[in-house]
Amino acid sequence: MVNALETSDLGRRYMLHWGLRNCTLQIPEGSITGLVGPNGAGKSTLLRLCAGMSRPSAGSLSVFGQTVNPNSASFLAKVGYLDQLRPLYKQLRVDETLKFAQKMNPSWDQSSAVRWLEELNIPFDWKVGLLSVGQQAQIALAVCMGKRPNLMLLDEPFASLDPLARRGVTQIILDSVAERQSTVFLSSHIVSELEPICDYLIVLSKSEVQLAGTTESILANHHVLVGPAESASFDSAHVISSVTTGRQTTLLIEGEHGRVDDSWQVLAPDLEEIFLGYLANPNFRQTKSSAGGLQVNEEDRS
Amino acid sequence: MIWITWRRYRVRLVIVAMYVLVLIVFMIITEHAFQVAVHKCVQALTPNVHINCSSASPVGPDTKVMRPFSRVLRTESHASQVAIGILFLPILIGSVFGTPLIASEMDAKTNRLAWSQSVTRTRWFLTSWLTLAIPAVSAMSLFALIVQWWVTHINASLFSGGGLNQQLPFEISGVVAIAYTIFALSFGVCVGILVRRFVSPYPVTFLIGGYVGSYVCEENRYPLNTHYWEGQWNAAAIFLAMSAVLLGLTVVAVRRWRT
Repeated sequence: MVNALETSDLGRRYMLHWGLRNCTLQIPEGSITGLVGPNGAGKSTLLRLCAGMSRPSAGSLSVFGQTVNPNSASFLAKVGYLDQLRPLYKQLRVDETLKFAQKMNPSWDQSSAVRWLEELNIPFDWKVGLLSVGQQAQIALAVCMGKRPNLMLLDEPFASLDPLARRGVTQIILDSVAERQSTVFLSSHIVSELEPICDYLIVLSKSEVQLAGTTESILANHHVLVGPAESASFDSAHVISSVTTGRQTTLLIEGEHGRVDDSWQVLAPDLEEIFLGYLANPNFRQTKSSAGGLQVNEEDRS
Repeated sequence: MIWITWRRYRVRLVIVAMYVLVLIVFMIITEHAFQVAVHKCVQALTPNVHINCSSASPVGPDTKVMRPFSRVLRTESHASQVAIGILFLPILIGSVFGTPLIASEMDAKTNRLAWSQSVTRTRWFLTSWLTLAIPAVSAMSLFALIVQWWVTHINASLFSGGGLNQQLPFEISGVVAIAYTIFALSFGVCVGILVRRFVSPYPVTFLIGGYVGSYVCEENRYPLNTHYWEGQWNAAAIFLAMSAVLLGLTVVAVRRWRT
């Protein structure tokens, strides 16, 4: 089976520093993959590389088996990209913006785009530049989704949206996956927005992949241990974070915790806690299952 | 792409169309004023038919002759001011339509929108450029005919020497009018994408493009009427060759991954 997206040692250098490096990923077709990380971790860089908006400085990447090439019509037809800046022609009216998208995309789905924007009460006869930032974000998303791409690259699709609109966007993403088996790769710096919809999660930190895997395997592979402060001596390679308050120590660990004595309590963390632990320790790298790779086999997917 | 280009440029189009309209109105006014002035001058000179109104100063300090004669000169200088406005037209088109074609998209980052649709960048650029170039060239050819009418009418009645073609503004007539417009649009779009990171591309297009354009015309303008068309074809060939290079450069720049 061909992966929707494959990267191999992908890197992008900006003058002196790397915006992204050593990135090896495989994203299967039909999945929803969330990309999280702090500001400046390289999320937008990775999505821009996947969209062909930026040339890799190292490594390679392909979409549905085809090397990413922004000058190839077949690549462009398959990929939809929502830029972080939500670029739109500000002087066009909303209906003219949809007309533009229609003329630029043979696969354009006018009725869905219109229906969606109508649900949001966006005035079609207004100039885009006069609408609010959130409304412009919705229009940009409608343009991206209306193209009906096989792979959707969405850079922070929930940013600047109100809670109701976030729910609407989530629903539209889920619908497109259900109806057309599209693959979605989306970023956010809030893991709780991604948790309910994502099959896979990738955590970026300091331009590198810190953690990648199915949400289930990530959850299964991390534990919180709470115990007495004085006896906190675990194999340090697997301890992601350690917080000592008074006489109690809370550890976030990766992998099997092995034998723990009765003074320790083992808890199951949620993704948010795991993510925060990784954020607090940006130099920690996932140790298990070939660090950096989103290795997916058939058992994991079912 | 044809629609979006028209839609984005319709305000600029109206402004340039109004500029052209003003030029045409001034051409009609100066042509009329010139005919009247010449007519008066001829009437004043009827007793001395051997004196030419344009070439030599009238004999004697006769104010009855001097006044209509200086009126001819005055309308003539007005006409030459209009001619300067006409000569700027190709490079004005290049600056107003060519330069922003890609530069304004990159400034507003809308190139990221345009380049993530199903149309390749090369097709997007060439179609947009042709959407501007085809009407610009057609309008310029038509305008060149109006200019020709104007110059002919201003010159034909009385002027001696060189004949019509020598008096026609080289830049705005014949094949040069078309080739110069194509050059201006190519130069503008190329400057727009290449220098926008360093300086504003608009004055660069207008000043350097205008300088190059008039230099090419000057080099190929023969003082004698006999080689007029040879000079026209030479200049047009140079303009078209430069346009091909500039458009090629622009395609290469657009196809780079940078956004």
